[in-house]
Formats: sequence, C-alpha cells, structure tokens
Amino acid sequence: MKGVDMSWFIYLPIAHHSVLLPVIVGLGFLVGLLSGLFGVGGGFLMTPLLIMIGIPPTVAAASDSNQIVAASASGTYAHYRLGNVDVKMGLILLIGGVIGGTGGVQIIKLLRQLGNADFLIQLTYVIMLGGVGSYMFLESLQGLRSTEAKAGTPVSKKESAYARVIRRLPFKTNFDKSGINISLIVPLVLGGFVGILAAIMGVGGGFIMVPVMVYLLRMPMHVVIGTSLFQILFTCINVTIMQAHSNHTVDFVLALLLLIGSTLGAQFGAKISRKLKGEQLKILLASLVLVVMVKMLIGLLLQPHILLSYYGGD
Amino acid sequence: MQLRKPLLVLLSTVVLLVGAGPASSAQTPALGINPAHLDIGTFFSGRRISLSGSIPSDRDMVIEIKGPDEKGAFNMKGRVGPFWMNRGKVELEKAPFLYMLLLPEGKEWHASLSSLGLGIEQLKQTLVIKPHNANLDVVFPRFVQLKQSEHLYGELQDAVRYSQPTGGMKHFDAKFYFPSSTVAGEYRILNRLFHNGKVEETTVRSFTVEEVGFIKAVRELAYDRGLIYGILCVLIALFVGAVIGLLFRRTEAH
Repeated sequence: MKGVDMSWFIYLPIAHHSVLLPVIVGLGFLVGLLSGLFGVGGGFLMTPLLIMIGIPPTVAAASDSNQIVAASASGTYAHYRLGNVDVKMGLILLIGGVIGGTGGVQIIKLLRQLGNADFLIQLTYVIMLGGVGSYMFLESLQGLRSTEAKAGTPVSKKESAYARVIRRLPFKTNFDKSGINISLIVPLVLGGFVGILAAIMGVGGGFIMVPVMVYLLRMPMHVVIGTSLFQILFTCINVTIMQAHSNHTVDFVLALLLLIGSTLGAQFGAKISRKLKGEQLKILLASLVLVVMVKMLIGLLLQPHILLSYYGGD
Repeated sequence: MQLRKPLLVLLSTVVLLVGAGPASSAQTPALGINPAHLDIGTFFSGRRISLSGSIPSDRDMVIEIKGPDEKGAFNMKGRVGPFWMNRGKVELEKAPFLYMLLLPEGKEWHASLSSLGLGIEQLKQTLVIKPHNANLDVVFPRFVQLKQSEHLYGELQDAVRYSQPTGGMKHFDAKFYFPSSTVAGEYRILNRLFHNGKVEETTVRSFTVEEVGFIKAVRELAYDRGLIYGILCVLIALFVGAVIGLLFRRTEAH
C-alpha cells in the first residue's frame, strides 16, 4: 500500500472492499478481449480472479454477470454489424436455456438435499472443461493439419449416427445466417441441456454453448461467436436482476469498473477475431478452457491453506 | 425542612464527585482517538487511527479493538478420496468482525495473555456454533486463520509505545490501521490499565465507522429497492456497452 497514490483506490459498497482502480479496469479489459474473441462471457475466468483479489465469492459472481451484460452487448453489437449474429438461432437456444436453467436450479436443490452437491458441481466442471477442451483442441489441430496438407481439396466425410437422427427430425427450418437447415427441436434441446449445466455449475454457459454450436449444430465459427454473445446477453440480464433482487450481491461500482474495461476489450477482441481463422480461434479457446480445467483440478487435489471458507465460496 | 433532603443529596453528590475526581484522574487514563470516527467514502482504502494518552510511569496500557459482532456461515473443507472439497456448513455467532490486541513495548505479553483473559483465544468463550454438535475446537483455529489472512484478527506486540516518564507520568501512543475491508458499525476500544501484572482499571470507548455519500446511497438502494437497483445496473451496463460500441464505430468510420 505504501508509496501508492490513495486516489487510485476505490471502495466497493456491496463487497466491502477497497480495490485498485487500474487493476479492476485491466481485469475487465482482459476478460472483455476473450469475450469478443471467442464469444464466451468469461465468467469462468473472471469470478476466480475477483475472488483472488479479495472480493466475496457471491458478490464476485453476481457483479460479473452485471459486467458481462455490457461486454456481451458491446460484443453482440460489434458482431451484428459484421453480420455474425443469427438472431433466430439465438432466440431458440435462449428459450431452451431458460427452460433448462429452471430445471437445473431444481436439480441443484435436490443435490444439496442429498448432500455433497459441491463435489458433483466441481467434478462436473472438471469433466466438462476437460472433455470440451480436449475435443476442441484435437479437432482444431487435425483441422489445421488437414488444411495445410490438402489445401483446396474437398474432404468427404461419412454421415454419423447423430447426423442421421438430426436429419430425420420434424419442424425443419432455415437458419440463413448460419447457413443450415435443421429441426427446431435440436437447438431447443441443446439450449436446454446447456441451461441445465449452466445452472448446476453457476456460470453463463458460453464455454459450453460455443462447442455445442460448432460441433452439434455445425454453425460457422464466426456466426457462433456473435450468436453466443447474443444469448449470453439475455441470460446475464436475467441473472443480474434476480441476484440484485433476491440476494443483494450485485456491486454496481465493481461492475461499472469491470465493464469499462470489458467493453473496450470486447471491441478489440471482435477486431482481432476477424483476422484469425476459425481453427485458430478454436485452438486458442480450447487451450484457455484446458488451462482453467487444470487449475480447477489442482485446486481439488492440493490441500487448501485454510480449511474453512466463507459459505457461498468455492 | 422540605429543602433539607434535596440539599443534603446535592451536597453529598458534590462531595462524592470532588472526592472521587482526583483519584479517578490519577488512574483512569484519558484516551485520545484521532480521528474521532471513521467515514467510508468512495475513495476509502483503509485508515490509520491514533490512540494516545498519559498513564502513571509504573503502569502498562493494553488496548483491545473489537466489533461489530456478526453471524457468519462457513464451509468446512475436508478430503474425500484424492479430492479436497466442502464437507459441511457451520455457523458462528457473536464473533467480532475485527479483533486487534495492541500490546505495550518492553515486555513479552503473549505467554501471559490466557491467564489475563486477553487475546484472540478468549473470543472462543462467547462464540456460539451451529449445529451445536460441531466441534468448536476444530472450527475455531480455522476461523482465526481465515480472519488473520484478511488482517482482521491480530495480537500486535510492541504496538503501544511509551515516552520517557516525567513527573511520574508517561505518554503512550498506539497506531492501528483499519483495513480496506472494514465494515460500518460500532466498534469498542477497551483500554486496560495494568499494574504489577494485574488489570487495575478498564475503560471502554465506542468508535463509529459509517458509510457516507455515494457509497451509502448505493448500499441503501441495493438493500431497500433491490429490483429497481438490479434494473438500473442492467440499463447502465447496456448504455455503456452501446456507447463504447458507437465510439468504436465512429473511430472505424474515420
């Protein structure tokens, strides 16, 4: 603290904590950059970082949702102008997500009654992050290699059982922006599945939604990013209002500082994403997801320094 | 005759006060606290307070700062197979949010704290744990470790400094830093005057910490009108997001 100009500090009224202004704005910028680059909200990264600098976990998660509203609004707008938002697909995924999320909240209540829900939550996190990250990483790596080896040569692939089932489903509709023709049931069910996982894991679900859109809906990567941000925007608006109303855990001052950084970061992220190939973006996101997974796994395996934590924390 | 009784009462009160006055001033140290209270405003980042006064040269001054009492819920961590995870919830009541013991220079006090009824360990006596079958002997050391990691609990040796005695009296001075995570409320400052290893007198002063201005307004809105506060948070976030989006569009256009 000594030698630092005190005017750079700002007090957070709900977190009851004083923070260094450039640190918080910088954190916001970093996560906003990832948001614009990969179409993820960044909650899975930002919340642990905020806890590390002393923000209570419940306030960190709720205020993060508030700042994601700005970052995803800014990112959605930037991607919309580039023609990268499939509004129709986003709305269907959102409806599925809301239904799944409501179900997920009931599942988590049941798990808590049965006891040791935290173990299941953390294990789900590690398995999901590990599975999604590894698959994306390997697939993107193969994609990059085959592009280099057979530039311009069309690759004929055998139709999978999943693709055959999807093709036979009714209520087919055209998603022009994504360039796919698929049954309405598919994004509705997949949105519901992500909603359940997001509710159980307590995150926005962007890092699950992106691989779902890429691998299960076969949407182009650039449209995936814009559409994911569009969906995250509405999810986080809902979470912010609910948390402020029910738990009083949204720290507006913290969110404002974070969102100043994150909205700027999101714009830069969107610009950088245009310069990168889809496979390159996927491999970068996969690496990030794997790093977070390894960090969580280490956290589960190593003995904590203090064997007591505030309720609502990790 | 009717005036005699009240007059007697008044006279005896005056005699008592006059008689008690010098003895009291000789033993009860007048404590100066600077600043007299603490305001938590927008740029609050913790604040140093100074405690000072004069005591007879053969006495020692020990200062306790504690409060406000709070109720908290905690996760107990434990090992299941290879994993460390939350294994149960405990609640602690009547634990002060902050506890600092400022010990004087020139003597080792830590060994005798327990016999003097002072120190962090003594807080265990008043603590209430739930569920009642939870083991306080296991939970309390972990709780203290958690508080110490946040710089909210401490026993500070040589924190009370003395001047050279003059005329049988010495000046004491102690500085304490209220951390940036300080919460608003009433804190108690207990001054214990020690003579020959025993507490001779204890005086208690109240110290107010309160939120002011913008911080107070935000907190009141968040707690009293949560729904409006939540909607405002979203609208401001959308506005900032849109403004920065437009600014970038203009920058690109140029």
